[in-house]
Amino acid sequence: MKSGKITETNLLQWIKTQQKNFLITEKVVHHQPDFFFDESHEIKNVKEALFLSWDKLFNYQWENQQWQVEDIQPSVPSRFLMALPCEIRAIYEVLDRVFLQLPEIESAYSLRRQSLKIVILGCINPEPTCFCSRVGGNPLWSHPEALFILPFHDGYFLETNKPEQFDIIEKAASLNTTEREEIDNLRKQLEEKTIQEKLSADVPQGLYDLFEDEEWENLSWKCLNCGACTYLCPTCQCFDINAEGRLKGFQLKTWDSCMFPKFTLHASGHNPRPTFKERVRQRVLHKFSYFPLREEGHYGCVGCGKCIEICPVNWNIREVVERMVKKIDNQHKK
Amino acid sequence: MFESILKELAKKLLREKTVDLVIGYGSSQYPFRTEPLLINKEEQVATLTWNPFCGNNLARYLKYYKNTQHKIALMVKGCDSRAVQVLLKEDQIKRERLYLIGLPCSGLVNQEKLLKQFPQTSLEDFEWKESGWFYQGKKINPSLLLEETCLRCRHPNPTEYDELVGEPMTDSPYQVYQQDYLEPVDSLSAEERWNRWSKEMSKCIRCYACRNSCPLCYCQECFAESTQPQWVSPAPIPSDNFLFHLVRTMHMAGRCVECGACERACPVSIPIAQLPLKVEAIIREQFQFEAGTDQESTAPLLTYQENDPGDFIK
Repeated sequence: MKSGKITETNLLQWIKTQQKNFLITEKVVHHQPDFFFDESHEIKNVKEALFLSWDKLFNYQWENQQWQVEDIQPSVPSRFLMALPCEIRAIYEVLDRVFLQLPEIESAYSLRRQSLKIVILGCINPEPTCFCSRVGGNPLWSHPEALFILPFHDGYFLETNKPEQFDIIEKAASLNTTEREEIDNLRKQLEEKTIQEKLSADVPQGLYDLFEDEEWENLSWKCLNCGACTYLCPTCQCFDINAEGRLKGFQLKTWDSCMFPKFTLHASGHNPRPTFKERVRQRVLHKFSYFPLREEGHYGCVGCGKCIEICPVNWNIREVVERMVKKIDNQHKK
Repeated sequence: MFESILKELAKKLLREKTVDLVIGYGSSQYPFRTEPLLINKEEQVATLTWNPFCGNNLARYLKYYKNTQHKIALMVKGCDSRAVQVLLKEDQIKRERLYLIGLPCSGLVNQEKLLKQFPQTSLEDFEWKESGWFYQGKKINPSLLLEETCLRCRHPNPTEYDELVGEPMTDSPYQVYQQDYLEPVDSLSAEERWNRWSKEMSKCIRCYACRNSCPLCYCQECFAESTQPQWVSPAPIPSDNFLFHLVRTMHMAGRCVECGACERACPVSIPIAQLPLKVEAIIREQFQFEAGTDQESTAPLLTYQENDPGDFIK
């Protein structure tokens, strides 16, 4: 592990010289407004770097009595992505598991993923809507492959296991003992301030068993069934496929949302999730039950709180999960 | 003060079986926010609230009850009551199934403006009196505080109600200050306007929060999601985002009640209400018509008269 410190000026300089190839998320800008220097670098959500809101898969054309199909390879520049620990966990813990696990590797995602160098900005200012530690993260979560950055009184602390990917580490000065202590104290303070216990291991199965619970209806009534939460969620990965053009056109992949009534509408007219109750339950259970049951206990939610922040009716996934967890606890006591 | 009156009223309506359920605003665990609240038991009134953050237009929920027998009490601000009137006129619900709890409204407070202009503040510091907003006893321009759509509100009092909670407003921020949210956009050249809207439209992710929060978007199948035929591409590209928003705007013409719920719902902060608001401004000027202010007049787009004005169509 290579680490060191760097001045703010040098860090900003480094970000600027990468130009269009340095993406930063809205959350980073919120935490460090100085990192923002041009709208074209800012993305709402880490998904925009990997799993695009729309993407062309292949071109097709009916010619000489047969279909001509032409593959489209996305051109992917090597890019940096700076985001908060919760957002980056969405990539490592959720999106990678969905799109990069054998036997079905998503080729466009894989290409974009390989050319992405990840920078994690330690989160020193968690919001009231955040709950990363409840789902296994923490505000200083890092990954050895990434470059971890943490602001402290004298600039920024840097740390990575892949110095060859992040040339800035060459410019970093080593830390003296007092500075090391400061960083350690900062970590400790943050942990004390924010860390909550992770949801207990029986939650995924417990929620699964509550599938038929009558509470879902009360919990979901106010939901407008728009796609704001799922589209701005860093882990939501559902998509739709459409053919654009009859005899000549392209196969189009777009984001889709389990909140939309048409998401599950069958060609027969039957809809297995006909009302807000089934749709809201799906969103909660996919993240907090089905995904962890299938993926060795890893939740499909990273606790970034974005969906709570932007929900037009203040629908709060954290509150809902906590309420259902209480139900599980009560059942155990019986 | 009004909260306790509201709670008592809601309890009474349920107890005396005047209604089967009450739809109101509930308090949230986060400051400066509220959420829609469905009450069908007396004890559920505990979190019922009324403050300048009650931004949802609750008339939106009436579509769930179109084919049920429920009698429903609904909390309505001026704009919400206008939406109810339009729904009544469009035969979406029967008046006798509704009990409207009218709430005179001095404008909704914009959370972002509040925190920016008055950090470390609490709501008690603000007061509407003598036709103005006061902050710690000092008169302030409401544009520092209010939602843009509320700054042009012409109906601070419900246009239809069964019981009014609170003193009726004598005038609205618009009547006092005459600030119009649309003016800065109107004054742009066509090219500047095009550039501005192109930029806004490129932000749209087509989550349909605007449409779904609108009390008057109640189509069984929205044209935007129709696949046979397909009118709009599902890809959120600027051209098709434009198409979606402009067609929605035209569907709202003469029906929009100017509540601004669409704009408050937008998760990517597009000032989307400006489109229907502009259309309503034209209709107000050309046809002397405002949606949802009475039960008799016919919406201009639902009728034809030989002397209908047409000069504004360019």
